[in-house]
Amino acid sequence: MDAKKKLNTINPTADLHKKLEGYPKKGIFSSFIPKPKNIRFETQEELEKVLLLLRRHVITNAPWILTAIVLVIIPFFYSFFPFLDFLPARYFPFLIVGWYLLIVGFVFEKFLLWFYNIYIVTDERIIDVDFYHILYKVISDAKIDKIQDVSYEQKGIFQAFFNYGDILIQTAAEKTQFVFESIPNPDEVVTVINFLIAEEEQEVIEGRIR
Amino acid sequence: MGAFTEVIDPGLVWLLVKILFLFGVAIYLVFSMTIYRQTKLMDQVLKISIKPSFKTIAIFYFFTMVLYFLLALILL
Repeated sequence: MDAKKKLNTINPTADLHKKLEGYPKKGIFSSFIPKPKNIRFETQEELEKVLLLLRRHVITNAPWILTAIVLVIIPFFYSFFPFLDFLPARYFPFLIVGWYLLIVGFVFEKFLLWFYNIYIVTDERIIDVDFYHILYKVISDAKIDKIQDVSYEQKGIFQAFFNYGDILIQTAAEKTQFVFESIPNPDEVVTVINFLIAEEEQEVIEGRIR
Repeated sequence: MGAFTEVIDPGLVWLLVKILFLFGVAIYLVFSMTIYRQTKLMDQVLKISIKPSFKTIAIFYFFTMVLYFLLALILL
């Protein structure tokens, strides 16, 4: 009875929304977007609100960006290694254009993989869109009331320096573990999910189940 | 390459090079089409208002690849 009274005195919904309003407003290309505007997803219910839209930290794109930069400058060094000299001259413009088209495709694909590999936290559930490569994606979700345990881990210099890490969510849903990889401010996300769990518990006590 | 063309007819070698080149471009054409398909599918899963949409960029990229392929086919 005491626990029920205690839960009734706190108001997780108001606290959570105040917390989310307190974050700086971010654009659609950010990795941590609280209360995103102009975003809906396919299975979103009418009253369901998107609270957080998350992606891998921008710094995780560094390897492919560096690769692209190296690929862009390679043709400038061709005169030092003229290994295609046996080809007729008319082939070269095509090869150069083809090379840069290939780089554009590579960059575009890598960018899309980052952009669409998202994690959504709504007031009702968490959604994990894993976009592994252009031909393979997995979309899974779990209701907030099915979440059993939330934790995060930060390992290595980069994760500590740029403040990002993996969030591990244990659920009693069909998919038992969700891993939100390389998420910025993982401690904040864990706090938000814990708020939502408390809110769900309060909804059950008050009989406000949707 | 020189020693190679002494044994095999040079015309045949160039034909092979052209076929390989066009084959490579054709594979990339399929890849660009796949990117377009994926952006179209993802636009249905996640409705984000961005102008121009990635679907538009992907279709533009695909048609650039088609143009490149056709030009390569005609001019090489």
